[in-house]
Amino acid sequence: MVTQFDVVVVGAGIVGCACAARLAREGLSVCVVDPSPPGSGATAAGMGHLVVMDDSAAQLELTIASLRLWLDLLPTLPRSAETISPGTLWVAEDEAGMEAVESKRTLYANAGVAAQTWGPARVHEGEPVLRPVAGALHVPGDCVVYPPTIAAKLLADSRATLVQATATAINGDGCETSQGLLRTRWVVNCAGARATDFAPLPIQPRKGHLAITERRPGFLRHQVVELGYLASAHGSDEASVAFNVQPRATGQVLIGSSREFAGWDPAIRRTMLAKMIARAVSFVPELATLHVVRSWVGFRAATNDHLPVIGPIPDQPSHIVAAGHEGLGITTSLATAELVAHHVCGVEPVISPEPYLPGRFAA
Amino acid sequence: MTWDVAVVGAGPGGLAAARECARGGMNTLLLDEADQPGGQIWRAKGGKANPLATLPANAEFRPSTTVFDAGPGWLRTLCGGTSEDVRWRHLILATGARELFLPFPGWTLPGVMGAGGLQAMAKGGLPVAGKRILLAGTGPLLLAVAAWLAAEGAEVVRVCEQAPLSRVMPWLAAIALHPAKASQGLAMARDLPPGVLRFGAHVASVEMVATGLKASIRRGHRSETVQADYAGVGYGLVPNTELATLLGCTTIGAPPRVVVDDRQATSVPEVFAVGEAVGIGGHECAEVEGEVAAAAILGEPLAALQRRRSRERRLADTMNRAFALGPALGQLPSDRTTVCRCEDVPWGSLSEFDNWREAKLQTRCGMGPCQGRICGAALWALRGFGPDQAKPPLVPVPAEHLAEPTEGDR
Ligand SMILES: Cc1cc2nc3c(=O)[nH]c(=O)nc-3n(C[C@H](O)[C@H](O)[C@H](O)COP(=O)(O)OP(=O)(O)OC[C@H]3O[C@@H](n4cnc5c(N)ncnc54)[C@H](O)[C@@H]3O)c2cc1C
Ligand SMILES: Cc1cc2nc3c(=O)[nH]c(=O)nc-3n(C[C@H](O)[C@H](O)[C@H](O)COP(=O)(O)OP(=O)(O)OC[C@H]3O[C@@H](n4cnc5c(N)ncnc54)[C@H](O)[C@@H]3O)c2cc1C
Repeated sequence: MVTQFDVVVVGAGIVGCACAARLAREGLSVCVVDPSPPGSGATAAGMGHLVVMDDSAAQLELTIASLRLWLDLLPTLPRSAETISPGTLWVAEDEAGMEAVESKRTLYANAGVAAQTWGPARVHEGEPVLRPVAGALHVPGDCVVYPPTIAAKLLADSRATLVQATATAINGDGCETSQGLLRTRWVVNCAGARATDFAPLPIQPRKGHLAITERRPGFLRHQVVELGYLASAHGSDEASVAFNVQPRATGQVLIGSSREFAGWDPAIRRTMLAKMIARAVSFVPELATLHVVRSWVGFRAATNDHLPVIGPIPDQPSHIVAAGHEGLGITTSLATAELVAHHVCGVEPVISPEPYLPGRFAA
Repeated sequence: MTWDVAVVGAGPGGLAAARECARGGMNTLLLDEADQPGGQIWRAKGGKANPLATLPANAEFRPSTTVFDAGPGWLRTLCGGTSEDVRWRHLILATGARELFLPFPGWTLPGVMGAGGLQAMAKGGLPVAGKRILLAGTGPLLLAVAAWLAAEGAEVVRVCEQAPLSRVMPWLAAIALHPAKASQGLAMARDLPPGVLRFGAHVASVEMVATGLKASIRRGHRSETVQADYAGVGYGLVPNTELATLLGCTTIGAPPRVVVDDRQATSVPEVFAVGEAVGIGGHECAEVEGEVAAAAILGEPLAALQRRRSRERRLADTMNRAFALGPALGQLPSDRTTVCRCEDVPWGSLSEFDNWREAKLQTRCGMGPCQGRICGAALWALRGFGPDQAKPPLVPVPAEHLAEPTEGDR
């Protein structure tokens, strides 16, 4: 085995695989190290909603840039990527919610993202299974994919060397692993919430529950999310659930989601699952009758400012972090890879790299 | 209320366990998803008269009750559209086994089913009298089904036992020493039409022709073609371990079985397992294991029961060795043969994977409503990997039943 590479990527999640693919395109020799199969961490647990989000200006910019890259990639992917383009309905329960819809629409319009305000009748027509609501913001450009196969494909296309091992340290020589030292110029740390094993970063696992139903093609037309989702996503550290349902290419409905800080405890919390499903049923009453075939949990890599960490560690310029994508890492993986390519080989950045640099946490 | 003992599965093992626990003074709940007690063996026509006759009054039997979730001290059940919690101090898992299906070209055609499945269909009303029937696969069940179908007036055209006679001999010798089993075996042999049984033979493929099914049968280097209306192809039994796995019980083997000690205790406190769930062994074995578990819970003497249990298990080991699957069976599926029927996954797409998790994530194998109970068992048998995790719900249930707060995590 060659143990000298230009770049070693730690972690074969969607972020690591996207970085490997992007760096290989620059002609670098790339090695990816992960003890687990590609795309089997958070990437195997998330909803795969490619979504524009506006929690902050930087998040909006990152998600928009990513979506653009996805629109180029999606047509090249095989059927196993399960791509569909249902768009998103951000549902408002009341008049206060409609104000939020309006300001979100303005923000999106200013950023060049197509979005329309739908009144109650239009919502009912567009998504008949939804109970009556005050209205919604319809974002037609958002997509839904199946991330694990995309991660594997990006990795295969990159022709990177895959080493099945656990990285144990990142230092000036390269990357120490359970299989020995991998000599390299750069290490890209894409270990998700475990990125903190190699650098002191404010990243924590944030657990989420999901449940998936039997196939019922046509039951749901859009990814439907309650606007309060943002509050749940970022509002507080308390455990919470939010209404978030997704149509799958298979005709199944994926039901989300919960958020809690519970370490790496893999147990399915029945009370949390129940609350989450009850919330979904309160918006889509007929969902009560759909059979659930499986539930599971996953761990988002959450930073304390809800932005990912992308860039070199200040006193360790060859150690580049690409982690902490919380609930948006599928969406933002492609723009992340662009920024990593900027930091490693100086390619023109697609957006300003500034807001995501690890240096922002330096006290 | 909290039951002293909850028993899941009302086959021979669960019935014996429930009966003995109740006799010893424990408030005992016996659950089964079927609408009749008796399990695979005693349930239908020709079974034991009334399996509940010996249940004491402090035991309750709930039929048509499915356990779809569980944790320490609780089960979540669904019965007639209502879900509820069952709280227990001791739990006995007697969840039995299901038939093992191995993929081969044609195994998904209409008219091709499991051997036990064919018997169940016939018991459920499928007319078999005068029908040409091919049986193939492995194990004593095959002969039992053949004999039963012949007695029902079916024309059993061929019975293909994949194990060579030389490997089955030690087991035949062993059961010859058990009067009850030996006479059972003789009765079966009597009911079987002469000359239909082939050892060391398997169905390589089945196709649909105008007159029904046409099966290609292979026996060593020889092959023959047989026509039939139905084909029952079953490769023995696989333990139902999903509930045990969900509870965190250690399992072993490929396909997995629940690990128990000499008291039938699993690795999880107060959880016991008996019968086929801990290894295929037949109903006598299941019954005595049910009695062992009950005695362990009641604190009664175990030694005599344990000796009987060891005898049954030794015989079962002989049987399992006799009918171990031969390597030819792994060569049967073509790349295009469907392995996961729920998700339509062809055999060939799995060849690049050597672990279940990756195979499942990349191909959707086992992601459907049966959650890998069928394809996963086949993969365990042929490739040495398969599902080793269980997640709620254990069986698909309407979402509303998961939306209710449960004992879950207090
Ligand atoms: C419930 C839930 C819903 C979500 N919904 C969405 C959504 O709709 N849209 C969206 O865009 N995002 C969503 N996400 C987020 C998304 O799934 C993640 O942000 C994304 O998968 C992160 O990818 P990653 O590659 O950083 O991490 P991972 O996929 O976790 O990959 C990290 C990899 O690093 C490996 N690793 C760890 N330590 C080491 C080591 N020491 N050595 C070697 N390898 C190591 C791991 O084995 C793993 O394979 C959701 C997440 C969850 C949990
Ligand atoms: C969009 C989407 C749709 C899906 N649809 C379906 C569906 O229709 N049906 C279905 O059944 N599933 C579906 N899945 C879920 C998927 O199959 C898994 O259930 C999901 O990845 C959650 O994993 P799990 O915990 O259930 O994994 P399991 O397959 O149960 O395996 C997890 C095991 O692996 C171990 N493990 C996990 N990560 C690591 C690691 N990095 N290192 C070492 N060990 C590890 C865990 O500890 C655990 O023991 C879907 C997933 C996605 C993303």
